[in-house]
Amino acid sequence: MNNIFIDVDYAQIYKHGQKIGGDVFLLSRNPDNNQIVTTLSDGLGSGVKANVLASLTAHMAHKLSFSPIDLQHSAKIIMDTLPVCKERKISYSTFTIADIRYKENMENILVNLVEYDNPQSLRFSGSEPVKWERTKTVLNRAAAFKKEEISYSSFPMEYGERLVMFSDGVTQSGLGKSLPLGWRLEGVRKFISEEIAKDNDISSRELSRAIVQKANSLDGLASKDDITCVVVYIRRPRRTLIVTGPPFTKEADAVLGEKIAAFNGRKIVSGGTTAQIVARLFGKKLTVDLKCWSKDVPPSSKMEGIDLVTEGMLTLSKVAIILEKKENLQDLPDDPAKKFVEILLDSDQVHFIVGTKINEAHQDPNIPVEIGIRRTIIGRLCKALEDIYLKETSVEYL
Amino acid sequence: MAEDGFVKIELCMGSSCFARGNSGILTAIENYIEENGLEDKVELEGHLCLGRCNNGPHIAINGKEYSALDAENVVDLIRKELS
Repeated sequence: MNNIFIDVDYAQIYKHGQKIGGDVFLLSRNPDNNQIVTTLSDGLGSGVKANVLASLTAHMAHKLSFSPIDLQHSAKIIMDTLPVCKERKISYSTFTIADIRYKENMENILVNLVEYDNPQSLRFSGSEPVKWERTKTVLNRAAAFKKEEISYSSFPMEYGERLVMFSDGVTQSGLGKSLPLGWRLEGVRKFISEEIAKDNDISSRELSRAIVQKANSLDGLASKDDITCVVVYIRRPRRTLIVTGPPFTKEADAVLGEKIAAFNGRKIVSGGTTAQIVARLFGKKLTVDLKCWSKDVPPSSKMEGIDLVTEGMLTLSKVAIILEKKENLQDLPDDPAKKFVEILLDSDQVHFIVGTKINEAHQDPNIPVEIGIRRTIIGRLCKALEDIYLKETSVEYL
Repeated sequence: MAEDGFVKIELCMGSSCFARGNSGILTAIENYIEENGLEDKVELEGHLCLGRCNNGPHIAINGKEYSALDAENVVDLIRKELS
């Protein structure tokens, strides 16, 4: 697994009263190609019409980024294809495309950034703002209603650096209300710098959320426009190890112990018997916590050195259901399955060590089907984590 | 032997016993304790799998072991131990 992780996330608040956004954000990870593309587009106006314009733009820009067509040409194609607004007699939407490429092992991360009429993107190294050169080209389309200038830049990104992109709903927030000219680029830059200084390792999810919430509050909690913010953050991956099931042979217990001790990251042990083996290997005390359980999920236990100790199959299948159904964590009871999911969602890479010993008592047809086959459930967990939450997973059997 | 009027209940919280009934039994005991204000008289302790999965749910009341009880039986037994 890689030692660098590209953390991309965004947050969005629609214009007050709108149920559909005129800002559209798209993200694709294409690991076969070592490429990540993010596209942010803001359509003319708001509501459905803006959403159609922005969706068209974002999807075209996105698709074209994966093609060999040069970006200037792509931009022309996009502008010429957009439908014309009846009132304003123009076809118009903005876009910012970040095409992120990297070598194997996430080395040499290079960003190609194309910006058209969104507020300028910002870069930070730690909490320090970074300035960089952009090349500007004029499109010179025959039917253009104004001078169309596209900025292009290319730069490497290193560990600890961030790229922040946003729509004008962010820079214009507070306009005429709390601030005469709005928040403006300088205000946003200062805010982001302060947020990073407060928490050096703030995730893209949290930072983008903080920015849109601040913008919304400047608008008096009744946003004047769609507010969208995207953050790209190059950081060390957050790793989690999940150990479940006793090893097939007793001799392998010691191997399991070594693997747990050597792992650098958070550790979950799922399974009562497995937990007893781990406790014995490390000479630690194991106590059942009768405060933390629910009707579907048996209580967790406590053990020094392990972040979470849960029961096995019932908890794992509940975790799989929560992930697959994208259940909202706030609506769930405070049980070990919820804690389990919280740790998973806060991880970038999840490694499973699956013991293959069969528990004969689980073959009894009288007990619930949730106590199924461990390998099947691990497969479901990996699929949900990769497909829905874009995590990296790996599995080894013992 | 336990002192008079004091009950210690140990429940197996392994997957099998939990699924076979100890989930409901624990809820029933907690409710009984709360309704009757027995917080000082009843002590609850959970265990990981005790290896008696085949005839679970497994439970021990003041050291006496029981298997395959339902919630009603367990509350009756606690009542008897307390009297």
